[in-house]
Amino acid sequence: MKTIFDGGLRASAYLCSVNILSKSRLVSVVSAIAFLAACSSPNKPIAEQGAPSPATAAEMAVMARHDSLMAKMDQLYSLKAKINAAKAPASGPYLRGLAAADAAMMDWMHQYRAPDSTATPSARLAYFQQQQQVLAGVSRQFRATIDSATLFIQQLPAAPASAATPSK
Amino acid sequence: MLKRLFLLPALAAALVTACTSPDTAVRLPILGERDVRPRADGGPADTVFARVPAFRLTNQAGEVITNQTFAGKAYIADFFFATCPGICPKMQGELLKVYAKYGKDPRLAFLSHTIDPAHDSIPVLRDYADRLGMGAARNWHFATTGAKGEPAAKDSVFLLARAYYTAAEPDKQAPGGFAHNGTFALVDDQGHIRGLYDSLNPKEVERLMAELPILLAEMDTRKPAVARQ
Repeated sequence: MKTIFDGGLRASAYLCSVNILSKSRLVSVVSAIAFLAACSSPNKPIAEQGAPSPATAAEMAVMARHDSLMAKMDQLYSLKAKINAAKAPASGPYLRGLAAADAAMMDWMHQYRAPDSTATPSARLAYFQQQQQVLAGVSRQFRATIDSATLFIQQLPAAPASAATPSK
Repeated sequence: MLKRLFLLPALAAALVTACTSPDTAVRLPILGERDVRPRADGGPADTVFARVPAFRLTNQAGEVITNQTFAGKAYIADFFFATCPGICPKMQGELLKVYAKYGKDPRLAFLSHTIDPAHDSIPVLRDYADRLGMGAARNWHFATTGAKGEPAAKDSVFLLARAYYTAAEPDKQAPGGFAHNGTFALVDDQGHIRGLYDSLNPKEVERLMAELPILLAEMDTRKPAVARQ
C-alpha cells in the first residue's frame, strides 16, 4: 500500500538506503522519520551527507521551488482579502489573476508524480527538470499577479485598516 | 538586625518552595496579543489574552467540529494538504511521534487542517488518515473548511492559519508562509496558544514533547476532579 510518505521521504530513502515500506505502517513511518532525522538533518551540512545524485539534486530543487511558492500563497490570499475589503471597482482582473496563480500552483501539485525508485536515473532527472520548468512558469505567474495586485492596492484611495496585512 | 537574620532563612525557604513546587514551578507562556481592560470598579485591570478564533470544520468522518469539540482539552494544530510533496509528510511524521507518545491521553487531541479544501474532500481526508495509520483514531481530526464546496473555503483556512501563527508573531512572516511553514501550534483547554514548534527541527519537536506534560498538568489544576491517567 502506498503511503503518504512515499514522496517526501524518497530522497532520504535514497540517501539512507532504507526501504520504509517493508515494515508495518506506523512503525515504518516512525522509523523512517527517525532515519530521516539522522540521515538528512536539515542542520547537517549537505557535504557531510555526500553529494546527491543529479536526479536527487533536481528533485530537491523542485521541492525548494515548491516550498518557496507555497510561502507566497499567503501573500496571494492576503492580497485577495485586501482587494475584497476595498470593494473597489475594476478589481475583477486582479482577483482573477490571483485566483489563476493559485489554481496554477494547485494544478501543479495535483499532477506532480515523482518517479519511484525503480525509474532510471535519467528518467528521474528528466522528470524533475521538466517539473522545474513548469514551476518556473508558475513562479512567473505568481510574481506578475502579486506585483499587479500590490500596485493596485497601493493606488487605492484609502485601503481599510481592517484587512489582513500583506505578507512580506 | 537580628530580626533580619531570622527573616533570611524564611525567605530562602519560601523561594525554594516557590521554585520547586510542581504546580507552580513552570507554566507555559500564553502567546499572542493581549488586551488590558480597565475595570469599572477601579480595581486592577484585566488582561485578556487572544484565543483561537471561532471555526467550524468537518473532519474525515464527516463530523462537524468547532472550538467546542476541543473544550476542556489541549490540542495540537497544523496545516497540510493531501498532495503536498514537500514538508507535509515530514511534518505529519513528526506529529505521529507525538501521537505515539501522547495519543491515548484523553486530555489531548490533534487537528490537521487541509489548506487544499477543493481537492481534499472528506473521502480524500479519510484516505489520508488511513494511509497515515490514523483511520481509527477518534482524537486526530483531519479537517476541511470546504466539506460542502464552500467557495471561500480556502480563504477561511488561510485566515485561520494566519490567526494561529500571527497570534504569536504578529510582525514576523514565517519563511514558509503561515499556512505552509510546518509549524505545530499547541492550544490549551481555553483556546490560548501556548507554544509554537517547528516540526522540521527535531529539537523543536522534543521541546513540544517536553512542554506538553507541563500544559496538561496545568489543566489538571483547573479540573481537580478529572481522573488523571
